[in-house]
Amino acid sequence: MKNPLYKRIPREFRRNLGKNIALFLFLTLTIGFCSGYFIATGSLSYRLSQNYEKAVTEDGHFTFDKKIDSELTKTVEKNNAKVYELFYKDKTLENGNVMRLYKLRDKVDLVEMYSGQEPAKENEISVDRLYARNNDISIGDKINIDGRDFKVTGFSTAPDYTSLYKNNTDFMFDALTFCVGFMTDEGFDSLDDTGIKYNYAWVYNDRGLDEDTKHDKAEKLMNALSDRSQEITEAIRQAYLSAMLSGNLKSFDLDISEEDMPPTLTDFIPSDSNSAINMATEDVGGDKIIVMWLLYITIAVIALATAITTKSTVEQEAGVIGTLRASGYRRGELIGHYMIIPVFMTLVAALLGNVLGYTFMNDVCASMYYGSYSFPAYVPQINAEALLLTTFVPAAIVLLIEVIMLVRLISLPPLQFLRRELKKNKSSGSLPLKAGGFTLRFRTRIILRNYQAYIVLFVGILFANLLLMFSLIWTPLLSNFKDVILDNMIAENQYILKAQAKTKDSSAEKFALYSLTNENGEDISIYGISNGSKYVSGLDLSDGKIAFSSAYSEKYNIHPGDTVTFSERFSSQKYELKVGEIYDYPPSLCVFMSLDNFRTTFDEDDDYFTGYFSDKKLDDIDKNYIAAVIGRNDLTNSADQLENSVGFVKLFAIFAIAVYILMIYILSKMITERNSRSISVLKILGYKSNEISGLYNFSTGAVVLISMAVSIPLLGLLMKYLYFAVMQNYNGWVSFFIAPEIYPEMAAIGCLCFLAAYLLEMRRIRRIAMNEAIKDIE
Amino acid sequence: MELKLENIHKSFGIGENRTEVLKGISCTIESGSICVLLGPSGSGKSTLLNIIGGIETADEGNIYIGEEKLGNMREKSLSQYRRKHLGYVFQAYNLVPDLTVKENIEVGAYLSDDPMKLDEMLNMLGLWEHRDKMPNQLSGGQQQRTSIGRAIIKRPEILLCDEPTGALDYKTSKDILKLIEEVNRTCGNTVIMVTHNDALKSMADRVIKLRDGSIRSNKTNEARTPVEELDW
Repeated sequence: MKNPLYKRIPREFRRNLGKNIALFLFLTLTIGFCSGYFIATGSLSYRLSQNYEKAVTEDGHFTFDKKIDSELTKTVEKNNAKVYELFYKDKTLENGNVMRLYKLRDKVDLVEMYSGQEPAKENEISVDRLYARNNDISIGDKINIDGRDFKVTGFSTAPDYTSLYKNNTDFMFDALTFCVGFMTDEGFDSLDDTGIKYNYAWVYNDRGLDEDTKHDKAEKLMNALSDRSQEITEAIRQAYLSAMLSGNLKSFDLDISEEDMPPTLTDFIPSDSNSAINMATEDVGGDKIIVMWLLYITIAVIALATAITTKSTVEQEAGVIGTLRASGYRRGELIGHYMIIPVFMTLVAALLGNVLGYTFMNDVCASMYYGSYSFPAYVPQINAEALLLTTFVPAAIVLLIEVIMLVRLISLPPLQFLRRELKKNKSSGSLPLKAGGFTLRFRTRIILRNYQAYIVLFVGILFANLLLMFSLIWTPLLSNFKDVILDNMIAENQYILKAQAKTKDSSAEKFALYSLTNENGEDISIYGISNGSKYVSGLDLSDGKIAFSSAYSEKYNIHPGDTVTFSERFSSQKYELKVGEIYDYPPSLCVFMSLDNFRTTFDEDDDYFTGYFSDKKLDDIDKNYIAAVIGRNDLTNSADQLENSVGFVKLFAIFAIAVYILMIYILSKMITERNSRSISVLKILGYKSNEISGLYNFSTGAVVLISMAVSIPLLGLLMKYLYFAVMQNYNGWVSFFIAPEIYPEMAAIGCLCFLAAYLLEMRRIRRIAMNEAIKDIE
Repeated sequence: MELKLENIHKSFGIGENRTEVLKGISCTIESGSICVLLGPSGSGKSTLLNIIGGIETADEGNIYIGEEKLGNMREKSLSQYRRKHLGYVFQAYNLVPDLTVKENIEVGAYLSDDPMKLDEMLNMLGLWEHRDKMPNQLSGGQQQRTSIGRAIIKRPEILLCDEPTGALDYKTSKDILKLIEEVNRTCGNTVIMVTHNDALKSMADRVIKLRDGSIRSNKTNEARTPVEELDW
């Protein structure tokens, strides 16, 4: 015979239909989102891992300042790798954006068309899908490059640019102003060579190497390339010396031309260090843990709330349970009975959520990544792990919390149920309350009697506020960062020169710039500043003193007196720099020293410099001498891109509000139901519904307010640590900032959520009939 | 099934607050009889009933149900014992609120491998036309009938009734007692009923009077008076 108690389950479900539907929808959508996320990321990761074979993703690339000769090619081949030319030209477009142009590839880093066709004619081009989206470019549009129009035939993705990093050392990728485009060989050759980079990709003969072996081999290859380059340089130097010693220097001078100078290695990036390849892959996998914990904490908070509700039901049905136990019903049968609704509901919501995940949510989640990265199209893959993580684990969490609570409660002897003595410690309800008027004492008693529910409410509000704060801080934080960048600009323009060039503009001030790597592998700009600088002022850089930017100090927690070790990226040369002072410069991680000190440290000539600071445009410098001009937009680009990438975090606010309302609603409903008899008595005594609501809901309101008052400032502190932990993994630094208006904003959202739940409870209290009090207690 | 109690002691509280509720109760209740436990409030009659029902343990003494000794049973065996041999009726009816009358009785039937026929039971209880009603749609008497139905449908050998008419009016109480009498007659189970209503002693085969935790008298009635003829 089927247990007849099961028959009450659908009725019990219907009795709390509103609550159950709200919970069910919330669980389904939450699990659906998480399932969609796992499916999307799993499928994307699978797709990206396939890229290595299918798209022949490079094992790394290196750049020389000119074409390499056959000797250098052989050097690569001796290291069991093949080398391919991947030359590119960076062209500045009419709107100031930079387009990096490649020839279509057929051996390595194969391009995939997301939509449209590959370019087939000299005047055709395919552009990166994401850049096209961000800049409203459609297939068929024309892009002007070097004064010529190129027709966009399609949108492409390349495995070496899944995230659009212009330089590997950039703080953020930039899909707003930087683009990768592909052309036919003729089209590429037809453009002038300004901005050409002699870039080479290598691929190991053995494609099955593990990451450690690849890393070791890359190191050997880099040493071999740089040694070979140095050998050639040394040979020329020796020839030069011989010529000088033999008095034939003049003739030697004639022999050696710019073209004959050996190629110099300017860049070397193994694929495991290439942000343009790895950033997206790491990000796709990287958020999994956060989403998983977000789901589990949400489920646990909801499970706690439902467990408290179940406990209340058990308390109300103590007599029934006592009778059933006395009649021979086993503990397990009753535990199973009381937990079946929450567990079954979670399981069904999880299964439905998974269906949503496969059919709809995976696209929603994938679009968050497609909004930041240049991925090829993907096909959702069946994901057993997603099923386990989003179906069985949530159901297990709910089951565990319910079982723990019910085992403790239902283990009590039947007699205690019959006597309704379910509380081991009854003192909390009978605390002597002498202070305050009747209403205060009444409300205090409600809080004391329902303290477990209110503790869960506090936990729920803490969690909801954490999500809320996380979703609200980004916009003002990035906006503030942009202001900080602009307020702290060293100069309106930083001219980086390819070769020393002179200017007569009085606003120009020489500086030198070099890049070193710190112990965390992060590239740090080292500035040499002219004495008495008007752009970097207030610093004492005399006697070899060195200043670190406040951003560096904040990120790495360094202080005056500390010593920081830096190294050259492509050599073993190390530099130990002592922190003299911290310069208030939040925009970037950099080090300042005097120009003289810079020249000595890096063994440069006495007149060495690499650029100018200037608040004005320097029109008298030939464009050919200028490598880059860093202006306002360049400095705020990373913040813009970051703002674009974290846009989806705003969704957290909706989720947080849902958690907020659900928690207040479920727990205040439980409290009202538990006290329905007392409420009925109060009505008989002549209390009005709003007075009763004032008594019961005020207590909940007070707990909500206290929870907000405690959790919001607490989270303000906690958020700083969370933020530091998250941002440590990124290159560069964005100063932490919580806009003061966020606090009242969060409080207002909390109050509105409470108000919504309050109105629902008000309705429930109105519905409690006076005859409730005179019914037999069951 | 015969029930034998040997020197049952039970105390509550500790130290100075320790109160001995049962002070060495010994008696035998014959199989198929109606036994009424009489006594004023605090005399220990409900405690004794609970010890017999296995929902409370005696500090000392033995209880034999047939050949089986209750004191040797662990919680799991006790649960099985209650499931198999006992039916319980309380003053508060303790019906499952979301189940109909019929379903509440099924809750009892579920515990038995060979329950009585449900429709016959509903007819016998006079609840046929109320079978689809929820407990909150019933009068007190109807609720108590349902609770009796739930207790007896599994054919318990012992039916324990703790003040079954305590919350009912005179007429309804009489109806319930008649039902218990009929159940005893037709099903042959042993009925042990706790009451403080002295008038009910006449309907019993055995009347045990308790006072201050001890048996003041333990008498058998030569002939039971039908409930119909009782008055109080």
